[in-house]
Amino acid sequence: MNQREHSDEDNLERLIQAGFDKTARPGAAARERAWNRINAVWRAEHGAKTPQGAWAQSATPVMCNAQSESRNNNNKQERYTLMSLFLRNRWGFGLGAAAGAFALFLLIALTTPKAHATAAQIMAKGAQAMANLTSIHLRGQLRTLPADNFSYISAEQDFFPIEFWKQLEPELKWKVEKPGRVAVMDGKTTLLYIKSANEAFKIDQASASAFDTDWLHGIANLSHTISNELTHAMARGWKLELAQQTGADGRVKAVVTVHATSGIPDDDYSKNSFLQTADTRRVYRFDDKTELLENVQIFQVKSGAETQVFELNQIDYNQPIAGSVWQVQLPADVSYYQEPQKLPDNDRYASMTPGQAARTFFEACSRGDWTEAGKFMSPLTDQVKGYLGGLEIVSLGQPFTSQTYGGQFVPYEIKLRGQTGVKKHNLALRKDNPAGRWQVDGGI
Amino acid sequence: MTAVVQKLETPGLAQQTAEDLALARRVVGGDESALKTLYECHADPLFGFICHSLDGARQEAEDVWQDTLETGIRTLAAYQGQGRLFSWLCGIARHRLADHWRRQNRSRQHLCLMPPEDLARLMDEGPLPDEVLGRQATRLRVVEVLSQLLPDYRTALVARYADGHSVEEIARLLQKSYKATESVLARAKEAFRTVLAGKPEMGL
Repeated sequence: MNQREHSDEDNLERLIQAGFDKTARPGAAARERAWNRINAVWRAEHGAKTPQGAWAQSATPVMCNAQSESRNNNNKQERYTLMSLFLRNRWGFGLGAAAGAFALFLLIALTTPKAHATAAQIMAKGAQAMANLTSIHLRGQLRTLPADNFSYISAEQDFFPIEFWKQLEPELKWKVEKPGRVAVMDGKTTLLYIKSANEAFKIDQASASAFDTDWLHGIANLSHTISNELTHAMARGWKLELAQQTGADGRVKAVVTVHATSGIPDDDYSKNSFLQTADTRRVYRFDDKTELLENVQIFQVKSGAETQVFELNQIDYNQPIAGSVWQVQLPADVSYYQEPQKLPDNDRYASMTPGQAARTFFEACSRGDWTEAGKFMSPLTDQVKGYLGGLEIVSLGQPFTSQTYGGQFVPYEIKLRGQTGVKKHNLALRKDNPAGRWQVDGGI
Repeated sequence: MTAVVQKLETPGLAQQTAEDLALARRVVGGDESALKTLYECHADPLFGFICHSLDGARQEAEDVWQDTLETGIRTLAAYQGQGRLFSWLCGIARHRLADHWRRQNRSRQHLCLMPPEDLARLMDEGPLPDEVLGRQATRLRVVEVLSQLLPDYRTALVARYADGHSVEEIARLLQKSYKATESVLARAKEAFRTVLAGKPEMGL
């Protein structure tokens, strides 16, 4: 680099620092808060229409009229609540006024553009009620395996608790925990710890979401995701329902039900294994007075039968979160995931098929060659070595893919050392890493 | 190569404005992905513009910024491609800043602007003087220039020069290979200089 280039580089650095250092950029919490607010405004002003604008013409005027009405109501010192909106629009659906007088539970299937617009308004109001959120704490239960992914579901499993904390002020932080794993973002780093495997994954920077926690962030970030439900409903033809219920506390609730289809074929390997890959019925309950979300239930729909897989039964808004929540004590002997780096003979591994990679990995485990096995898996803990060491390969099948997975699955049958039965499963492999080598991603 | 880069990566004002108008129409038409794009492209530079205008008062800047974004989204249908979308948003910000100063009983700040070509020329002459770097006009100009770059270019430049990240870290951020990231950085620097030397649209 010559003197001129050095000066150029130095000038560029000093200029950008002067104009756009961190003090001239919004913090993560402020960004999220601003996004929530403008998204809510956008919902109200421009609506959530399908890309084709299928209901745009009818929806927009309804929204505008409602806002105008809202402003008038403000002048009259009247509250413009979710339920008042719901009830006012109910007559538009052609139901008799008397029906509301005795109905404790009223269900309306949303099949018209106007009804969709009403749902949009209810969701937008709920979202606006969340606009000044400083923290949220969710507590629920999920049918899952305790140590598996945060979005893993199985109708055959028991319910396990799952908890989510998110602080937006003064600094964005979040944490998700279920019995077998915990993920925490403490404002500076993002960490996942899998307790049973004693493995940790660390990202040396703050992140808004990571480690398969998107769906919980989604529920917490109502102004974005609840309205997304509507957008998806419009675009994918999902059925929506609005209902009025009296809750156990005697108060009126607005209930929005979304019948969501994943679009994943029934014969796909990942179908129904994750919330995102299952067909579900999602029920959101809003309190009419506070306009805040109070409860969420998710039911897996399979072969015409429903199984409840998630219940969110406690939501605390704007409560202080103790500093200890963001601290996760890791054992001294924890193993950290290392991103695979290029090897001197990297090409040999990068050119393998998934079947060859699976065989090479299992054969290395069989003879206890952990250097070789470590080229396919990180971290290779003592627990994994003890489990797979000395295994015997019975068979390897044809690799296959799933619509929702970026890697490949290799069916395998192995005999574990000291066990008589045959373990039959699918090894998940992916190679979207800097070294371009197949890495074991699951299925052990 | 430079000419090609310039042509490919920093399209003319008319084309940029047409792209801005198309984006705004998509947002108004109900396309949420367009709203996200608009936010990702303009929210941070807009904050920088407001923050510098308020001499770094972040809390005040945040309030004005949110008001500006909300007003911008509400009135986006009024944007007809009469200039860059970022300049249009800055126009709203100026009104909000004026309201803010009025509420604070402060008179509007007067800025001493330096012609932008001078900044580019000064860069060619040697190390930029601290006095130039300390000017509000310089900081505003940097925000404006960054706002006009492709999002990947802006991310790469800010990560490299303002946040001091290594090329490896930026590669992870951009989800690109090391080589591709080096290439992005080189093109981003070129684009920055090209826009810096161009005619500004913004000013107070």
